[in-house]
Amino acid sequence: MFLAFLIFAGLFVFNDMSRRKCANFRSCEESLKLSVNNSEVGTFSGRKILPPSIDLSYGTFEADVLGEAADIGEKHIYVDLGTQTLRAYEGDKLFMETVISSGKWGKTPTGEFKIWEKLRATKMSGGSGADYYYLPNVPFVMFFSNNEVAAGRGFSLHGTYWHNNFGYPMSHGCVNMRIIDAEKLYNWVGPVAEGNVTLSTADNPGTVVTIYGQAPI
Amino acid sequence: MQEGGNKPVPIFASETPISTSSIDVLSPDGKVTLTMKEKKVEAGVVHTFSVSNKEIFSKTLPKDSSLTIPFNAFSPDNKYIFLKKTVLGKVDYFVFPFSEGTEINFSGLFTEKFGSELTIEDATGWGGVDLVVINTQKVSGGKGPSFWFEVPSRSFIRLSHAF
Repeated sequence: MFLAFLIFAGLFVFNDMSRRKCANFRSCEESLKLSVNNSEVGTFSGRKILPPSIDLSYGTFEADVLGEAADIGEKHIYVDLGTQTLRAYEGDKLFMETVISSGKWGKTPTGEFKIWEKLRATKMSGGSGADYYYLPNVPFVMFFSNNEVAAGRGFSLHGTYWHNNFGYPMSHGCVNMRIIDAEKLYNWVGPVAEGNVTLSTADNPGTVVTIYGQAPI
Repeated sequence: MQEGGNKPVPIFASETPISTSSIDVLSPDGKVTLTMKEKKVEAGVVHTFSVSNKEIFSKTLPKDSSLTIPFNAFSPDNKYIFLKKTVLGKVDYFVFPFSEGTEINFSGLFTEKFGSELTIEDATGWGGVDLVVINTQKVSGGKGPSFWFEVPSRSFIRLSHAF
């Protein structure tokens, strides 16, 4: 009987830990898919907030033709956790620079990643108690991964409508951006959007994202 | 560092040559533009704020003072802004609700409640739709706790983690 209890408890703990490895543990798999809920209300910091309405006919697909930018240089995104800033370069040319919010309640992974999926919008939820959040219509989502941080863990750069405290850690592991910044980056970054859901391929590769430094406490 | 003129913009009343100037700041979702116009007058500088070309608020500050629009000035739902005012070295933060037409000086409210123990170090942005993030210092020295300033209730919520 006692052994059975230990096995049950062990399975529970293992299951809970594996779920918490995701950036948004309540919506881990769901967050990786396109999700639009224009009639729903979000929750963050114990407050209700109206998400932005998502228009799936939004014309974001006029970005670079594949290969067009090859003579300018490779695209590369750098996220400095120490200064909470993001810089995007095309070769040596700075495309954009802005402040972000990295992980506070969950750690943002460091290393070199590639964008593997772009979604026009998705739903993210997690936390518990006062930290509970439910966020439909998270816009301009760019998921990144590498060999050590699996795609299924759901780390991404994305637009943020529930706080405005950029320059300071505020997320559960993702890289929060102002919507106007996320939109600009989304329309620039590889893979080139082929609709509201775009997976990177050998012919349409994801941009490299380098995340480094240590977030302020 | 930010495109669109959204970085903190100090306007120093003591600077001379310009008699009028105007600054536009875009909300994080790109939907609302806050315009601050300044005009020099005998008493100092008149700062006039408009949202989508509708005047919402005007404030005259003496010389040697400044009014700053912080980078994270807009609340997430674009219903409030917070501003930083410096007069003779004294810093005050206040919130302006677009719908009410009166400012809320939360630095003053904070001093009334915690002045013997803590001072505001800075207000950094919005932790929720109506929650201004405040960092503090202890009067006795060292870093103090962080707070939310909850705008509708004009109350402060002490936080267990620093921001």
